[in-house]
Amino acid sequence: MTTDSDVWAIDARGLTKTFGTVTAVRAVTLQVPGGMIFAFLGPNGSGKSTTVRLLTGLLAPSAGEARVSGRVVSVHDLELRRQIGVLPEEDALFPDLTIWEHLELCGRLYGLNQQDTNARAIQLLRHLDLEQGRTTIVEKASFGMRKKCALAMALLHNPRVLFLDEPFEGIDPGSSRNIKDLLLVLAERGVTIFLTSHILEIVERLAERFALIVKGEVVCCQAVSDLERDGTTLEQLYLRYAGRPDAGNLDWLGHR
Amino acid sequence: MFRYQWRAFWRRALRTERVKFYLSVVVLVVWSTAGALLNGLARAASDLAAGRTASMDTLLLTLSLAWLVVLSERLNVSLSNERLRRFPLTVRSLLTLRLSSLFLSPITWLATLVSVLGLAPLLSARHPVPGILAAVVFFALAIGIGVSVSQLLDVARRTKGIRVVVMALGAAVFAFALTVLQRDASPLRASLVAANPATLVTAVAMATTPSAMIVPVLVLFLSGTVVWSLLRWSFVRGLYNQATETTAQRATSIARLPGRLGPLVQKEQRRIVTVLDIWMGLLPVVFAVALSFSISLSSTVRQAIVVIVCALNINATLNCLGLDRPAGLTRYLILPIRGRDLLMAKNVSAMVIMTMQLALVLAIGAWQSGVMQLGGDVLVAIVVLLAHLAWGNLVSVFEPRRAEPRKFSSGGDPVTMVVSVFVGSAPGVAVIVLLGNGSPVSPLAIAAIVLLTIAAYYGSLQFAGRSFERRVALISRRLA
Repeated sequence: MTTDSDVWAIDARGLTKTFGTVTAVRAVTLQVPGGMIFAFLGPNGSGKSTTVRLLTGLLAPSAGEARVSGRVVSVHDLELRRQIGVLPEEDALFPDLTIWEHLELCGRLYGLNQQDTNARAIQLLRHLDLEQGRTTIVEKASFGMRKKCALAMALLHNPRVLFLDEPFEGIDPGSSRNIKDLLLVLAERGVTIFLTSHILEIVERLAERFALIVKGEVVCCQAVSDLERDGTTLEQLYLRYAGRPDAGNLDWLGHR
Repeated sequence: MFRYQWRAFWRRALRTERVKFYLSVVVLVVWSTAGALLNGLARAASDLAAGRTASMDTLLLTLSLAWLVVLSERLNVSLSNERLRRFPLTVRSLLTLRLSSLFLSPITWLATLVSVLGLAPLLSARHPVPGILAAVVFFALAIGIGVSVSQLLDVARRTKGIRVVVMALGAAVFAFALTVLQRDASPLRASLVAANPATLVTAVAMATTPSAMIVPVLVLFLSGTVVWSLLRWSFVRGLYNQATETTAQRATSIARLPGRLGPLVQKEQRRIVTVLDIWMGLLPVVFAVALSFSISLSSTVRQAIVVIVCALNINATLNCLGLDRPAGLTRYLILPIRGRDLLMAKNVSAMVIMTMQLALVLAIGAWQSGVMQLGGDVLVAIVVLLAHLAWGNLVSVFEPRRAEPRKFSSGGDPVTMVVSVFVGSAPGVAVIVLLGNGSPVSPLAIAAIVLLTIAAYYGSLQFAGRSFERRVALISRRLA
């Protein structure tokens, strides 16, 4: 007999995170089946990255529980870290290492042998159009290069669940296309992908389901295909829940 | 702009609890030096009144050296020139901001206060007003030199040529001064002492005739012009370098250790060598080398040097997380490694650096006393290293403080520093004493100390590693 936790690759129930008097994430409940690309959307500061940190064990919840690949998420669970790949919001790289050294380090720490590490690293760098920059120190690398490096690190150990926080931010169109293709292939092969993004067109094309978080609370969670049935677009739905900031009176702009 | 600099500085100081450091430095310095300073002021005043200038010269020189130390203190300036360059600000505005930012720190306030007090004895001089003006120029020179050196070191980070020249020049001057000062009756020694630039101030203050002031005033004026030019040049050089830095800079090649943690150790080594503090450990080594050419160093002296070198490297052991940034800490959490693995990687890299420093002292030991004698030196080195690392891991996790590459970063709480030097050195000193007294129980006692130190290191690694995992969010905030 299968239990709920066997069915869901990601299963969060009542996840809450409070920082002092501020509740960043309030009772988030989400279930994502294996092999699905799931998009987690929301305005800036709505709690997306905090949720990703809670789901990946980078942050301990104040209340609630999450399971990923059937394991209760815990800050101390090394096995969980081996099973998931994380692209954090900030690239979380070491400024003094080259891009290639980051991948080598990753390979060693995830227990890959040198040969596998090299082979995988070369393929990933080629796919992400990062081969030329492999000897560049991360401190001197461009934002896009750092993002690609962090993405390659998240993929190198072939994780079962991928958490990608803004993977397309600062990425050139060519590499962006490659990443999209790669994510679709991974999902077909059963890898669960949990991604956050502000680029709604990409989400509409890639994701099967999405959730929208506003002010720390999930206000909407549905299949992307339902949008067409409801005769709406993701942008319209997003703006309905998240609201549209008042542009104010900017008449002075452009006049000298 | 200064208002924002001020706000940013204090906001960060409060957030990272650096205020505690400032407070403890101020209290410790006032407590430990107030008596000596007041005595020095009184003596300098009475000497000047009697026409003697030596004590005033010493006082002024000490204060100017204190300024150099103060300026080497890392400044938590959020609005750095690097970030301000994008705004339409002239070089002069940026330089003014840089100089005014020096006075954000309470330690600079203390140095200013002490310097102002240091002017008081000049009231007893023959010409108080010109004397005080000359002293102010003299302090300004010290500040100018301190800032220029700090800027040049920053430039040297990117320009290998300058780095090599600065290091070679520094080593040559140090070795030369050491050789000269060792000979008591050397006429050069007398001229070195006479070349104390503070004599220019007392020469102005105690001039017998107005014409006797002309030369020292001219020298001060010329020095001021040179230092101002150096200051401006080094500042512009720093700005220019930031603007033209290539994006494809290659990594420094450092040998990698084998094993799972090898790349982490390599990363740490590459980072750790950028902190200026650890290069201070080379000073006693150079001293030992210079001394070994004229006398044979006894094993006790060599072992004492080992203890001193380790104590001078305390920033590498006591603040092993200091160079990490919140993003880097996040990466540690993403990777499948325990806190103890991380600390061990950091410990091994510190150990490699310190071993490289100690190698020369150990080689001298082997050369002068024979390879058999080397055992004692190595034993002391192992015990001191492990004791420092054992204690350092705990302090690193419970009292982390942000360190900056290419800066002196020993900005820890002075009380903790003193306690740490004691805790880290005590087992080594005990071994030195036991090695020296030749008692029949000494080997047993030494074995017990070695075993206890190893156990303490192991325990500290486990405990600090677990604590790191629990406290990582807090550490992240402290290092932000």
